[in-house]
Amino acid sequence: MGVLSSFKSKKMTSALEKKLSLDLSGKEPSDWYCLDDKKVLRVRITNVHGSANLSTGAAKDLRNSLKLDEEGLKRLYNCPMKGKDYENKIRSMGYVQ
Amino acid sequence: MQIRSSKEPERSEPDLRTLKGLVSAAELAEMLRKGRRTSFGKWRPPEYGRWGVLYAAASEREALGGLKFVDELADVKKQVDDLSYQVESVVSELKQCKEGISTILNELRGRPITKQTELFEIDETLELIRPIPVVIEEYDDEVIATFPEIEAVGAGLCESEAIINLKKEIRKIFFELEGVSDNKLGRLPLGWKRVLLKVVKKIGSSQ
Repeated sequence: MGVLSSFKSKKMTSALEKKLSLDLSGKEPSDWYCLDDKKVLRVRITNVHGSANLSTGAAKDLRNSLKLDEEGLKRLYNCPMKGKDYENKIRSMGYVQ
Repeated sequence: MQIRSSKEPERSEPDLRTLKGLVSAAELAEMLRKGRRTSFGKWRPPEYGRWGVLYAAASEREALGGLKFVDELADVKKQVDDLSYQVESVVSELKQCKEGISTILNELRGRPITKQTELFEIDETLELIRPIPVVIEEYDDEVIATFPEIEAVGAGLCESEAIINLKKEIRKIFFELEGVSDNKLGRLPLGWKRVLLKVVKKIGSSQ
């Protein structure tokens, strides 16, 4: 709970847009993460409050939609996991057919 | 819980049980005659002098009584040491329990109350062929409604708001996938499309 509830909404949105080339603008931000010209994952941020921090539920949902564990989301949120690293991870998990 | 023996005697402390053997009848008589600490002689470890119960003894009987008392005191000391060690162990285990309970409580606070329901209707554009199972998760400050099979999620401040948003999300996903050919979809979206086509029927346009 501690980690999941400590993500800043803006920083998370910015990280996802830059690293995964997503467009997460709008009131109900969601976009398809595409690889090899295929829609692979649907990424969404369901921050019901529009608050500075992502709620626990929103963070959990985001984590599920990205197919990451808590540590992976933390690494994507911070610098260690680059876009290419994430792509390799998703490919290795077999989500791109 | 493992209870160990009391701590080892300090090196500077004599084993009190040996003291009695050390004081033989002849030695005792000599000691009583001299009546002072020096009766132990230089060859004895000087620290034995600290157990000088015989110093003020007036007779052999009284001296032996004193030695017995020292033995009893030693036993009591060992018991107190054992008890002290046990109390330390119990305190340590209680501390670990307290930390464990605290961790569990934090975990429980982060977990939502979960229940299940069904959707019977989406909107004027989509008709449900059969009810959709929905998982409702109630957190402290929000409610999340999910149709897990297609990873559709709706969030809200209350259950009804979350369900309304889930319906919007299902509709959105349906129309995002409906017109896309299967070879343009990854493993997951392809599965979602198949599920949606089995449970939802289009009765109006997406606009």
